[in-house]
Amino acid sequence: MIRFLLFIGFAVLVYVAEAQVYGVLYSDNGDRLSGATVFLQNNNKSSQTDKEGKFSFSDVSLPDSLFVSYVGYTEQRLWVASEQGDFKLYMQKDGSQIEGVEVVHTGFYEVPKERATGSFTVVNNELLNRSTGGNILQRLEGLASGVQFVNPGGTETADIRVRGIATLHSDATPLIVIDNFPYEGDISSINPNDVESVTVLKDAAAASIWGARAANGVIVITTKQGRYNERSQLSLSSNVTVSQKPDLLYSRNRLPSSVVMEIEKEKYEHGGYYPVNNRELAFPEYVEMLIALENGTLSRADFDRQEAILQQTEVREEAMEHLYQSSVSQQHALSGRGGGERYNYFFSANYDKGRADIIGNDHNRINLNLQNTFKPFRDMEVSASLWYAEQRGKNNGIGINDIKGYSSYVGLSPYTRLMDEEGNALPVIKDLRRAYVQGAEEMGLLDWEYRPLEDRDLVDRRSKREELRANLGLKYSFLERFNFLATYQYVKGSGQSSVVYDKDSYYARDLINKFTQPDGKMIVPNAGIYQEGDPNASASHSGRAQLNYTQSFGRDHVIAALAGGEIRSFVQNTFPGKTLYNYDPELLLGSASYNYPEYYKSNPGGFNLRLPAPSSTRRQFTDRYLSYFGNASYTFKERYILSGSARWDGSNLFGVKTNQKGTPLWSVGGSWDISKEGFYAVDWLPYLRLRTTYGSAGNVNKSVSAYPVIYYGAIDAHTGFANATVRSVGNPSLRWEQVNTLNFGADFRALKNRLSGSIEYYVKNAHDLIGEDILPTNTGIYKGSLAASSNLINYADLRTKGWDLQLNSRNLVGQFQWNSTLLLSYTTNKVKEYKGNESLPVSNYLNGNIPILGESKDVLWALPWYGLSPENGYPTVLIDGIESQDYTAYFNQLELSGLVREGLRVPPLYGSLRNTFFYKGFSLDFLLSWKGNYKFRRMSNFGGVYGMVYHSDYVDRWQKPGDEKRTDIPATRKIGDNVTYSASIYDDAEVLVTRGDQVRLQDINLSYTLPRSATGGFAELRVFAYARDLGILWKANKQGIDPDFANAEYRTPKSFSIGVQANF
Amino acid sequence: MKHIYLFILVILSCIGCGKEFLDKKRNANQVVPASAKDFLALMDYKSMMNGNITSRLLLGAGEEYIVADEVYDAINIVNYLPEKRAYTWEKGDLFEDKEFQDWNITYARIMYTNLVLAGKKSGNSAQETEEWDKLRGIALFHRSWNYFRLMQHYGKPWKKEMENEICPIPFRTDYDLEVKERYLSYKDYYEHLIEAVEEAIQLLPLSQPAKTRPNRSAANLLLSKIYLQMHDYKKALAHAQECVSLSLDLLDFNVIEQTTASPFKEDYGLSNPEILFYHSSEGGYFMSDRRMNVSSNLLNLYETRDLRSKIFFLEQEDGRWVFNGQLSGNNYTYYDGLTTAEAYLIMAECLARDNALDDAQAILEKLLKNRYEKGADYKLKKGLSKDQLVGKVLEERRKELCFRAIRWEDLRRLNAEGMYTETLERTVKGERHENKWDTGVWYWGLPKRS
Repeated sequence: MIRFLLFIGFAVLVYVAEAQVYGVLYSDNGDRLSGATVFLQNNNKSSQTDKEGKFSFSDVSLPDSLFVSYVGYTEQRLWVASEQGDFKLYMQKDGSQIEGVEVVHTGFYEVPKERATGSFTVVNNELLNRSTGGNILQRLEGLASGVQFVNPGGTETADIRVRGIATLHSDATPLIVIDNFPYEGDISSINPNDVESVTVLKDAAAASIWGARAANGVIVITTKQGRYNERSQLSLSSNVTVSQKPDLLYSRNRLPSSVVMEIEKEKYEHGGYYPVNNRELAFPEYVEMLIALENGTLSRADFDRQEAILQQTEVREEAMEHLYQSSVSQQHALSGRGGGERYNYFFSANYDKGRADIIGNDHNRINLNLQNTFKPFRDMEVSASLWYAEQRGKNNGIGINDIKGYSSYVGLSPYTRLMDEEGNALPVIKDLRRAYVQGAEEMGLLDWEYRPLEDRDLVDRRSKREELRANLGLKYSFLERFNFLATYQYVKGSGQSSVVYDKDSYYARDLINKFTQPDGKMIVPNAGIYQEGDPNASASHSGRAQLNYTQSFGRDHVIAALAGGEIRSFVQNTFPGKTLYNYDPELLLGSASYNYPEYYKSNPGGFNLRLPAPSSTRRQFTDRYLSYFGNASYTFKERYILSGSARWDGSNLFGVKTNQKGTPLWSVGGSWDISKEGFYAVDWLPYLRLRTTYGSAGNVNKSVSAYPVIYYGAIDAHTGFANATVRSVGNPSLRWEQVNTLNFGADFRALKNRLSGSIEYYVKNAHDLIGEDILPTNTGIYKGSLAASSNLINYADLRTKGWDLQLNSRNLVGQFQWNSTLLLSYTTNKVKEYKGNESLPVSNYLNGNIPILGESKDVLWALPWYGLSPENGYPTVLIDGIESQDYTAYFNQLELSGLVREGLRVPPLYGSLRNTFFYKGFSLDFLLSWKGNYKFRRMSNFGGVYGMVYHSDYVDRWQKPGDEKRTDIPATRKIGDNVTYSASIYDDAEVLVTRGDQVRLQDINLSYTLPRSATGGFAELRVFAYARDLGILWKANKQGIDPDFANAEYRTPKSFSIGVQANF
Repeated sequence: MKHIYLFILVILSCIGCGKEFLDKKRNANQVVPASAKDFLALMDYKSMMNGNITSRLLLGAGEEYIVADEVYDAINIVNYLPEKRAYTWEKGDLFEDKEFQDWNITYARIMYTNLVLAGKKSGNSAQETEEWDKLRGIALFHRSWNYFRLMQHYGKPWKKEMENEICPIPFRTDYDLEVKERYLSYKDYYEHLIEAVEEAIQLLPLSQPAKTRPNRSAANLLLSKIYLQMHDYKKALAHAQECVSLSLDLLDFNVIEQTTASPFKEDYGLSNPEILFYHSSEGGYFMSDRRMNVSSNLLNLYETRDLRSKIFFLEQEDGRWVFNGQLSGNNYTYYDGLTTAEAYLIMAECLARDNALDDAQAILEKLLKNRYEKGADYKLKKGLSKDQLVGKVLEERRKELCFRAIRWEDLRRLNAEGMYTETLERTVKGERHENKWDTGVWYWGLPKRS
């Protein structure tokens, strides 16, 4: 602000009248741009560039701001202080992917994409702003070549795969880097409005820069910074997003109420399912009616009337009406930046707020940040920045899973009603039998009914997360070729949560009643309850020192090198959360003095219970890292580049030998700009650059140990002894995983730069991958045991191969423009060696991830299907060619060769196509994505409806002879008829495996940009409308299932946004 | 400006140091076990070593209860099928394709004991030696306890003629996964157990601060039980006597309140002087209060003034009788550890078999005095023959040690001996299932992936 005033003052002093401003405008590839608008703000004069790209103004008062705009190009603005002849201005294309202009941020250095030998993808600011949404990772979907979201709609790093997988058991998440340091915090605290660009590092060159975790790819997030010599600008943007209410009726895991009621009646009449002597545990409502009818306490007429109401009720419709809503969120961002010759700054303030798709859940986020860089001396640059993020959430929503009843008898009753005709909240059967619950008050207890719609307002669940990041940097240039950089980062994070239960809430009444003694004494007082979740706090310190060297020798040789070290410490603490009973939410008073070890008599009785004990969790995790790295590149005649890098990565791994605490990584690469060669004469391909890298990286695994490891637990309340559990018996011969990656790439521009892109081919060889050996259980190591990770051995080698293609084309240029970007990737993997247990029962292959030599890790196996028997509708199997229904014998003789190899579970082929149309300030942009060549297994009617597992396939099951011709869904086994494998013969069969190939319309963006000249120099405005998750355009399966939501309760609802962005 | 070079050099040199920096433990709670304290903490982990699920089949096959037909039918959850098959003593594979949790837990415990026994003793002071000795005693006891339990499940009942047959139970004394399991002959298996418990007797102290740790009398009782299985009554007697001489007095049941909640406290044996080594197991699906019905042939054994029938059993509203006398103090885990009463009964049986009839009768009556109402006539008839007296002792074993997984042990050894045999039966859905003493199922095959 002060600076701005100073400028104005200066300007007044240097007021020059009747000056001239003129120059030439070029586009980024060197063409002269005609028809561009040139505008002097204070003078309010506007002009257009001529056929030769020239413009001129005479008789203008200086100083002034010069704005240059052309549709499809980023607006440029300059401060013209004094008369200056012959401006040469270069315009940068919007969303340009053309090489040479893009800068790759690796987090250690920046390099123009043209000079990089490794494999990088850059997602620039414009692409990031195509979509709305508060999560930065989500904004990469479909836009970054080689980046695949394996969990649709995912927002976590774990949902992303960069170029397939390089490990089987160790951590496979890519590394996130923010402002040059690895980021271990919560990615949801980063506001996308603060992000300038994202670079994805994909090959060995990437790993050898970043170390062991980078074997899975690195996502480098660069935040917005100030720039030197830039006029102060202010930006404001706002948007609102509304999503449809989730459609719960999409779920196939349900049956209509009338069908479920029939099944419940069958179970009741058979006996044994609803024990007569059970007084307390909840039965479904319909069963209670049947019991009452039999007892005579319910008349036939009343029964029929109530039955009819239940048959018409569908709990999901009730839920959609009363529990769910359409989610609405808004984002507001304000930022400013500017800079002089020795100083620049950037600040931003963002506020996001929204309500989720369940009534009662909402969240908001505030981000504040300030960045300053200044040069106290000519050769020294000091920067300091401060980032603060605070997120708050309320989590009082009641979802469909919260209205389930006692799991052994009730589950999710499809005829549950939430509200009666007069608008009163209805009670829902939860844990106890209705008769018992209704008689509670007579017994001297509190009302024990659970009324969800009422309860929602009686529980207050809140959470809060804060993060503070402070960066300090120093850059000192000396001797003209050296740069010394030192940076330090401090990140402090904390999280808390709490729940306040009102005394009338179900949780409180339930607990109070449970502990009311036979003489009426209330162990838990009749008041509210306050429960704090275990708070956590984390702090990390990171420091890096680096020396850069750049020198040109003569005209042809350039050498650049850097070396340095990095140290990092990250400490996470979890503390015990408190519980207060007798809590008054108004006065904030409560008490924690209760007799926790004592066993009290409880209601409904039978068990003696102890009060829920306060938490005794106290944990501390310390991660420490130490690395040394070095990098060098040699460029000859600006067309041959040779580069190499090496790094040693160490960390405080536990339970390993000292020399296993670190791992080395290295890579070499080269590139050749063929198009610059004298002999190169391909006219239609004016730019062609070939590049290659090869490198080796080690990957560490924190959950394995060479020595036995035990964990101490809390002191035992009864014996007073310390106790410990075995977490691993150790494996002294464990080695770290090793991944060698080879990458070939070609970047090109063709057809007068109308077509550009790159094609890459890569091979990753992973050795000594760590995975689970199937151990005999007499070792004491079994699935689910605390020591289960003892079975980790180096058991396999994996080769991953693939190619990535990226094509950008400018299909139509001129007044009406049409650009397309095509991303296509193909990746497969194959197990090259396997040292684990080979003679395993077949069931392990059907449901497990056992690597098989020569097969992909993602292969999907299925049982062959021989149809249903015409006599009883059960599946038939063939044993030695003879039909049989002896499933046990079938499984015992089945081998891997007898299984059907269906295909791959994870799509090897995927990609996206983006088309953008520009016309007179309007732009329309839509993104299609597809996945191909893969299969998925869908759920069907299994486990038997008598076990309360409902699926809509039940209605199409075999019911009479002849049905086997029209359906593959087996007949339901009679009650009590328990035949081993009868479920898996169908569940794992090939008939339930379906092709997943699909084409999706991911989103559409329509925007209109108003250039500055149109608003009288006030601002550049952009308004847009955006729609997302618009659904599937084509799918290969015939069952009408959306493969991304095959067995889900509901699909991600469509969402629509509108927004405005203004730059002042 | 010159200072900046110094600054750079300092920072660059700092990078060189830092190997100790990487020595910090990641998780404050984690440790590579090395001290006696570490290994003792493993043995004191009571949810693993003294509780959990290890005896469901033994409790079920012991025929001390029945369930209604609809309850039998309603089990279709795969985890409970072995229990269902053991209920009717089905021949053939109990587990089919599945693992069995009881087996897994028992072997996990054996892994813990092997880890502890491999611990290298550190330090030479008298106090440290004592610590390590005690620790070794505890670990040897636990390992033998668990192998003994496995024998009751999966090993043939002992007969001298088959002592050289190979026992199918995998035998491990090493936690290292590279070492393969061994299969010993029955003779070697028992010898191994006996040696281990004998050493434990030498090393264990007289008493421990908590009953979850075994003491010397508990080790003696365990050894006595092992000899009893081998029909070596002389040695069984010697160790049972040793056990009793090292233990406290019996608990007089007259002081126990008869209530609907558990008559015994849930305090891991603290208030019960008869508990020598605390151990319990979950009971399985059928044994829930809502389902089981105590067999009438057990209920009918008790005389009217026998306090045990009132303390141990509770009648439900629907006429079923449930077992309520778990020494664990709650009704979902069944105590199957060691008590002094068992030592008394072993003494009585061994003395009777050895024709010391008067001594045997005196021991038995001493136990019964603490089990009958004050003033009631608890004494036995005079002039019983050896067979009658042994029969009486065996009957008292059923009455005293019911629902503690001991009945199955007794049936195995008695039927293998061939003198006091018993055939079991249960009726399900009108069909009569029998487990004959000589041709029935007295041990099971191993679970999958064993």
